[in-house]
Amino acid sequence: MKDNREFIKEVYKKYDDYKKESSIKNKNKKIIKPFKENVGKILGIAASCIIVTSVIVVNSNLKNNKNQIDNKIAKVETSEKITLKTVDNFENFYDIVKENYKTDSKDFILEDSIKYETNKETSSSTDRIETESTQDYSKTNVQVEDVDEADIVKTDGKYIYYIAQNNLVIIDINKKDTMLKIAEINYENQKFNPSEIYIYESKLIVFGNESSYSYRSGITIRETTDSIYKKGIYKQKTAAIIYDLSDIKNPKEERKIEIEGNYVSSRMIGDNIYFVGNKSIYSYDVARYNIKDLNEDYFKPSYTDTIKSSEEKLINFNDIYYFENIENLNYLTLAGFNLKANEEADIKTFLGAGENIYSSTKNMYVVKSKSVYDANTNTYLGRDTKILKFNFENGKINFKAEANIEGAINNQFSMDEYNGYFRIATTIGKTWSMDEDTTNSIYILDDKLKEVGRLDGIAPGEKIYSVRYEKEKAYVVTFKEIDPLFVIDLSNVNNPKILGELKIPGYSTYLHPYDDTHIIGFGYDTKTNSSGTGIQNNGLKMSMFDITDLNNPKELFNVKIGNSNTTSELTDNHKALLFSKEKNLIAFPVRKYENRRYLAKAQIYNIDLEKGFTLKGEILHEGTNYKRFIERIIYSNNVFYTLSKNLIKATDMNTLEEITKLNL
Amino acid sequence: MEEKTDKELYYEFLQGNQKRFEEIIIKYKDKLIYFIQKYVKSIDIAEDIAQDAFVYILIHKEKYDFKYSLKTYLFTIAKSKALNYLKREKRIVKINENDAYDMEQLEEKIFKNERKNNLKKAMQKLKPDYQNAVYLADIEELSYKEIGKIMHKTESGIKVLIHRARKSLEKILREEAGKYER
Repeated sequence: MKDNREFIKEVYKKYDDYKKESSIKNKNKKIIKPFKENVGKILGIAASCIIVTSVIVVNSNLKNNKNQIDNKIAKVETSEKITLKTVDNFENFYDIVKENYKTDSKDFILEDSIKYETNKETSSSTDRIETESTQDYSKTNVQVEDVDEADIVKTDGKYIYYIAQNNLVIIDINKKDTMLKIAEINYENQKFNPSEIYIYESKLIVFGNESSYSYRSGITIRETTDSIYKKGIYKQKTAAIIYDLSDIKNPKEERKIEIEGNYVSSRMIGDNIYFVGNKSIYSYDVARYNIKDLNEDYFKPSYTDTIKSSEEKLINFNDIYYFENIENLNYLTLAGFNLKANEEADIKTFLGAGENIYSSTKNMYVVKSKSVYDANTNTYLGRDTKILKFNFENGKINFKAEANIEGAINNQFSMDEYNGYFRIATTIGKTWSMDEDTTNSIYILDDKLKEVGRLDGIAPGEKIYSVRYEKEKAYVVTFKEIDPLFVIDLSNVNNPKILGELKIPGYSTYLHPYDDTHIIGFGYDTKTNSSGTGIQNNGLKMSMFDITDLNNPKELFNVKIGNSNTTSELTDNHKALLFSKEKNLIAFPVRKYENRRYLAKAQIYNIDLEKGFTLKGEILHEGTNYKRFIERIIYSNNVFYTLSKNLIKATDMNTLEEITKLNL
Repeated sequence: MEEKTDKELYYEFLQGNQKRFEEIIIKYKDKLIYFIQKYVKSIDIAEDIAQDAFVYILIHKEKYDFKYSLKTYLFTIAKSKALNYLKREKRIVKINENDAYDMEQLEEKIFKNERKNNLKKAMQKLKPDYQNAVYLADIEELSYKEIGKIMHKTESGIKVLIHRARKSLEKILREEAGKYER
């Protein structure tokens, strides 16, 4: 039988074939024009309010075939304008959406594996001073120091806050030998689905999606047999609920901020939180109906911030910004708020989209990739990425710059900001297909997102699996059959270059800096498959790379875990890692499928640059139910806590003896 | 991260998040293959048809009605694709030699716990129609109404079918148990 990846790949191939066939049928009916020019035109005449019922098929994501082939090298398009235009009115909105819809159906992303947006743990280091001095506890493994990322669990050394299924539980861990569930916020019967949390002083911030289903529709006509009308509308909101924990046993909801769309990601910097929601526009309705038959308000995004009033407010079109070359027609909403000030959240809405974010302490970069098709044959060429840069200022968000680059990123770790420069690594070409013409690039963009330097042609034929930036260096792992780890020098921003390369079997999907000259790679070991036609995973692998000699990186030692049935959340999600250099400790969850059952455990290793990784021990969550899968391992005051949906176990950090457990 | 509901996944897929589509595939592909192979008697072909079902979703992504469960919708498409196939291919299907092994793997994924495993063995002795009705009801835990939609029968028709299927199943299980007693 085919594995998931192969299966999905074939689904896309069949779909491509179908599209090719149908495009041949439709050929000669289309006149293709670049979308960019057209928007300009349409908006130019917007004042006259004439609806262009155009025969032109506008295709922003169709590219000229010849251009594509001639230009293997990456390109950056930058917009210098800092002031953005607003949509202004419903007529403009209608035109933009209608034109964009025609290309929108093409917008699908091809991924060779499922990747979830991942985060690391930090808890606010400057706060809760009363506990800091006496308590020693782990924080979420985050990408950027001082930029906290939300996670399913946080601890402050006194309590564990954990999203167990649809509830948030607070566990008292003040006493080493007991775990006591002292509070539970139950969302079971609510529309809200908690996904991630932050802890800030005596506040708990829960992020999640709220969904509702209604038969309301934006069409004001024909309540007849039209199937679209009968179709219900599924609405989704991103909500941040802030609880006051002054009385830890009775968390009190004190504020709720809701924006439209699904939750993309968030960051906490000091006492400010910024989050991103992405909402699709019901462009199908716009495409099918005349503007007169549509209810304008229905298309406006709404928001609520209960700090002043619980009233739901609509965002008017003159407050919705748009970019000249819209590529993804969604509402992208960014919200920023301060946890201490008695001020409404700053909410900015754009016609755009986001799927991944990177955030430094000053700026947030929201990126979205988009498939690119050949204009003539409709074949898939690869992906492009749009970058939107926003600046933070004490809870406020300001748009700074935008750029388009060729290729698609792997995850948030593909991006970095250093000394005012933004660095981003992409894979160009058909990333899901191993034998295709892929290549990889790193771009260096200045503070206005203007390209100042770039490095093309990294590992042709391969795709990026992980990236990590360390000041003026970038480490890039690509893979086809063996895993080259590239060391790239970014010190000259105009001329980044490859310093060294290491080829070893397997590949790392996450890189974690150990010290200035060592980096830990976490990923898979590989072997040739039984039919000899390809490569398959052969268990997990953790490697220590020595980069003392930048021109000649070495693998010092490694450890292989399990076989092809062994997986770890850490390969997809950096937040699953527990690492402490001081404690000489690296730990993560491991899952194995064997003899028709799953085995859930956490493995704990000691690190010694001489002796290698030593397995200190394992913590098992017995049982075969998926609710026993260990999601995180954290520590506080010499106790490991392993968390799964229905069980938390406390284990002594020194002896690895079980202290107690708590069924949820 | 909390697991998303099917409707959320689909909604986000409609929004342009293709990863959600892939999540749906991974969640349902084995179930669909298992279901389809009951009709076509070959895992290879069932896999192919299951892919076609997902391609159908890609082509007609707006067609899904959020009123119904996505699971029901997928099984409905799979059923119609399987029947189309049988209509088209009147030849006898040759059995792939890997099928037995694949079947074991597939069943392993679907019948994850022991109770269901016993049921599986007994189910294999049922008539194909019974097999799928019981599969949908007892393994996939769909309602009679939903099964009716998939199998193109009325709710009461399904009720009767499942009643009969369970009766035969009971008989088979009793006979099995009897074997060990002897």
